[in-house]
Formats: sequence, C-alpha cells, structure tokens
Amino acid sequence: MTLLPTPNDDELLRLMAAGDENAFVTLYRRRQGGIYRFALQMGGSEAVAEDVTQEVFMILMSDVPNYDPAKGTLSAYLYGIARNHVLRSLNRERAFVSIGEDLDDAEAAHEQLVAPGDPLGDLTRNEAIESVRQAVTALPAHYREVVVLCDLHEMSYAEAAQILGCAVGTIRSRLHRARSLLIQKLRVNNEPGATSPIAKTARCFA
Amino acid sequence: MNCLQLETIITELARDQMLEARTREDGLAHVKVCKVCGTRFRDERALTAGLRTFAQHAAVVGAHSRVEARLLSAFREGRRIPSSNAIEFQKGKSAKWSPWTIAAAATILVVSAVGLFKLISSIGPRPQQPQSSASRLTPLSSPPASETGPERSREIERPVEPLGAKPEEMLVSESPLPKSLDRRRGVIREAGLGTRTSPNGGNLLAAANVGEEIATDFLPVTYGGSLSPMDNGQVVRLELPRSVLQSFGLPMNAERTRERVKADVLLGHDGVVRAVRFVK
Repeated sequence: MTLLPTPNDDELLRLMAAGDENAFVTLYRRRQGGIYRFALQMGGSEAVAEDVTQEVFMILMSDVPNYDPAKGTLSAYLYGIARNHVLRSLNRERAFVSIGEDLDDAEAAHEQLVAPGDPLGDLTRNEAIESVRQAVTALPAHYREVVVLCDLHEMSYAEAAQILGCAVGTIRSRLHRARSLLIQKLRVNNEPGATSPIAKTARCFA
Repeated sequence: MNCLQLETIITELARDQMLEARTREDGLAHVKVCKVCGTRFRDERALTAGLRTFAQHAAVVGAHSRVEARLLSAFREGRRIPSSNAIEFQKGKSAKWSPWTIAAAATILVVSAVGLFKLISSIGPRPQQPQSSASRLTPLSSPPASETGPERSREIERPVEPLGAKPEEMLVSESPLPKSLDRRRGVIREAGLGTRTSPNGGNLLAAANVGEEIATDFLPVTYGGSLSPMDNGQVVRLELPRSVLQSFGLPMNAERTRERVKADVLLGHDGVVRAVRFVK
C-alpha cells in the first residue's frame, strides 16, 4: 500500500482556498496548538488565547490572497497575526506588571524553588514550572515575545525575526537581556537578599 | 576568551545553539576557570532547562474544540456564498457583528434615508392649498406685518402633534433665542424679520436671519416609528461636528470636517430630538 505524502502548509492552503473542508481542518489542527500556546504564554489568559486563535484562522480564511509564500512561511504569517492581536489585547487590558516593578503580592505567592544556596537548582518540579511561567509572564512584552518564540517554541532567530519584523541581531540582544531578567527575577524570588550575579561580575580580560 | 567575549555567546552556549567549534571550546574552558562566569553559565543552563520543561508541560495545551466548530461553520458559510473568485471567502469579521450592531447600523441608515427623502421633498414646489395633516415643515415665508414684534421667544398656546401631523404651534421655552418662532400652516417663520424664499417657494439654506446669523429650516428627525405627541418643546443651541451636515443631505466642505457648526436642536418633552437647524 502506498502512503500518500502529507501535504505541506502551502498545499493545504491552496486546497482550502478552493473550498476543501478537509484541507482546512487539517491545517487548523496542525497549527492551532502553537498559535494557542503562543497567545496563552503572551497574554496569560485562556479566553484571550482562544479569541486570538479563532481570529487568526478567521483572518486566514478571508485573507488567503494576501498571503505570499515568498515573504515567509505560513507558520510565521499566522504567528505574526496572533502577535498583533495579542499585543492589541495586552494594550487594552494592561493586565500584567512589568518585571522590576513592585511585585510584592505576586512574589508572596511564589513558593521556594529549592533549598537555600541553590535557587536555580532543580527546575523540573511543578513549583519551578509555575515560577518560570510567572516570571515569563511578568517580562515586558518585547522581551516576553522573544523568550516565548525562541525558548518555548524553539524557533530560530531568523524565524522569530520574521514574525516580529526586526533584525536577527535585535532578536539575539533582546533574548540575551530577557534571559538575564528572568535569572534575576527567579533568583530574587527565592533569595530576597541576593543580588544579581550579573551585577557582581568582575570582568577579566585574560 | 575573557568574560566580555563569553557574554556575547553565553546565550547560545547555554541553549546548545550552533556555534563555531573553536568558540564553543574556548567558552566552555573559560567557564571552568572563571568562577563568576561559571556561576552565570550554570544559571543560564538551569534557566534553559526550566524553560524547556515549561514548554513540554504546556505542549499538550490547545484551543477548545468549540473554536474548531465555530471556524468550520464560518468556513462552510463562506463556501455557500457564491463568488466569482473561488478563493474569496466571506470576511470573518462580519460574522462577529452582533445582531444589535447590525440593527443599529440599519436604523441609522433608515433614519438618514428618511431624513434625506423628506429634505428633498421639502425643496419641491410649495403647495397652494392649505396644508394637510401630513404636511411637513416648509420654508419660511414673509411674516405678516401684524405679527412683527420683539425678538424674544414666545409661548405657544396649543399642544403640538408630531412633525408631519396636523401643523400645530410649538412651545418654545428657551430664552436665548433671538427671535420668536411661529407656525402657520406647518410653516416656521421668523417674526419681525424678512426671509428669503426661492421662486418655487422652497429655500433650504438661507431661510432665516437670526440677528447676524443665518440658519436653515428646522430639519425633522424621524425614528422610523410614530413619536408621542409633543406637549412642549425646547430649542437648545449646540455645536455639532460639521460631518453631521452630510447626514442631513447638506453640502459640506471636506476640508472643514474637523470644525464644528452651530445648531439649534428642538427637543420634545421626552428629550427626543425632533428637529435640527444649522446656524451660521
């Protein structure tokens, strides 16, 4: 029995544009998880994530002629739409406080990651996962999106740059800074008296 | 390699990204000898592990099945709409319009269309016979000399029926009006002041002089249904966006859309706007 090759995104899109319902369902099921998780990790709300996911595919249905494969992958196109909607939602709701602001209430709810002396030791437990989730959510939006795309969705710098509409170098520098903030945040949460190891760095020129 | 050089690659090193082999070796060697960079590298590795664990934990999460159902419904709806282009679908956003939004938009369109129709009708030749019960406001004619008087608002004695019914006088209680209003046979006229009328009996724009002001006729505002009889009314001077002129079929300079225009609004006792006239 010969197995039919699985159509790629562009082929599914072409079939969908011609009215093929199965193509639409296949494409939706293939891409909806990533879009939903991206929206959830950026927006922090399941309701927002659901709305954004629906809106992304509604736009895809009505905007097929405007998608140009030469400009990028369909995945990047969908993520770009999702990002715009999430940022619009965040601007409307302003639900999250930027890292570095007064987060006493949020910090009080955090549990200790590990025993003192090893604040970032074992990050595999549920408490650690929740701490990481909250730390990511607390990042400013332009740092949060690079962490979500590059670290959580394992996209390359080039793919992330395409989605965010900026240079690869910008993605690298933002990710570098975002991760420093996350380490600082996670360390401060668990050792209130500790200072950032970055601040203590003594440069050597060996 | 020194600390500054390590700082430029530590993210890629901790995330196991592609690096030149020699650069990777030098970086890993440096973190072994430099205590501070070593600690920093361990933190970055721990963060990478934590983020990956978080990503794996969230990997099973997806949109609720109702989203797929809604999208499928919209997809099928778009497919049923005939289109000359096979790839055109009904705009998803229109499916999100609530019935109230659609009803409100339809009401506005109907009101505007009815208002425009009445406006056009009022420009037509003035009938010679007495006004019927279905008469509307018509342009002012010259007032009889016996009715000239001081320029002040005047109490109207009889109750008023809705616009379009048998013409009645209206109670005008707003004192700032510079002149009195009087209705005769469905006509609002200015007391003591001459008016300009066109040869065909209709004059829309330059119907009255209000002191040094020029005003249009009162343009009726209808709501698609019958209004309660107006026992009394009040004329209020307002400033409205110039774009409102278009709603009443009046010409508007597109370059002045951001400006405002004076208007006298006739309010019924129930607070519903019955008519508007624009003042220059």
